[in-house]
Amino acid sequence: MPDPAPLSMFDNVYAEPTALLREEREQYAAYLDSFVPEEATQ
Amino acid sequence: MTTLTLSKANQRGPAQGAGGRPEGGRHGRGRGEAGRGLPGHRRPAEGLRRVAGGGHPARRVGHRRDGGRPGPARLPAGLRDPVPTASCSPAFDQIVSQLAKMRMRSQGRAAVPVTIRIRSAAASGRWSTTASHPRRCLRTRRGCGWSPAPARPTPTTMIQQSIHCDDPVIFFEPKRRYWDKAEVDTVAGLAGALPLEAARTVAEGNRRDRAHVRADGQDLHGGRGGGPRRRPRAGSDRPALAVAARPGHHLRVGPPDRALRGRARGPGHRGIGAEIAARVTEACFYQLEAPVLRVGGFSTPYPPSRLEDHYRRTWTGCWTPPTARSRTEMARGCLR
Repeated sequence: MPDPAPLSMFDNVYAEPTALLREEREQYAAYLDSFVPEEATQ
Repeated sequence: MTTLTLSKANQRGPAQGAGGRPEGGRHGRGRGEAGRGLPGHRRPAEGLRRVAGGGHPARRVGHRRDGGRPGPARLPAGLRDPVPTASCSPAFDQIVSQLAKMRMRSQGRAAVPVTIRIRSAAASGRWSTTASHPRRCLRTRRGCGWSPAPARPTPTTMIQQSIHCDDPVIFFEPKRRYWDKAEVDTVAGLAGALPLEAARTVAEGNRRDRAHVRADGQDLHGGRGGGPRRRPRAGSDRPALAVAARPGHHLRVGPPDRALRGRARGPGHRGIGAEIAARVTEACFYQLEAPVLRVGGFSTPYPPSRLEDHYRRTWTGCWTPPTARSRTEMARGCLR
């Protein structure tokens, strides 16, 4: 079974995501995007 | 001095604090032994039921709503034994609605010196109830203290202090620290011990203008300010403080000699980190060079095991909003 996407933990918390949850999701997505893929470093 | 695991140390403390009961007494063996888990694993909150058994707890201490029974009422000494709970969820209502309010409701006549041991922070690789139990709710209950069991060196001391406290104390035992070993002085008494609610400097740094503030002892690994999975760097340049807070009780914060730049690591939204950040900002506003940054969990329920590391953010350190740090620093992902 593949690992779930990290950002999927923000899904299904509420029927409609709250502003705080949206903000946390965006910040964490930006953090994850800051990593350089392994193949790009080789 | 004896080398003990945190599990054993937590077990040794109640034996000393509750009248010399031999280790592994009524409440059984220490964790890490055969059978694992608290002895009451299949009997959640058994001790609490024992306290509350036979009706409202107030009756057990001679309390009447009309105040007709004069004089202070005390629980028998035997009820000072720490109460292990497999999960605090079944006991939550009794703790919040009754235990925490007994003293005030009885106008000080009823003391409820109950110590409740609750496993926490399991990180067990599954949908963990101990990592997501309503600990943060319990922390905010007035009338009920809480104490995070530190990784070292004082779990035996702190649980004895909890037992001797005349108020109910929730003693959180970090499950993922159970097998950490440290030297424990099992002979020294409570005289000279740091008060239960006092902050503890666990590592001295040579830079006084920065500090790591750890709001939860369970996250201290090796007694210093590294992340839970990181051993502290030798010669860390900033001190680390462990803070155990009773609600509304302390967090005395004074302006430091020099500017303070710190980060509080703990629960995020409405967590104890918010309280510390607010207090530091109030007291040290003119010395701060940067806002206090908090590193905490997301505002979601505890995720499935494969997302656990993302949620706890302990794999290398922390993340912070992109506006606060450069992308290089963020990619490094370390608390520095």
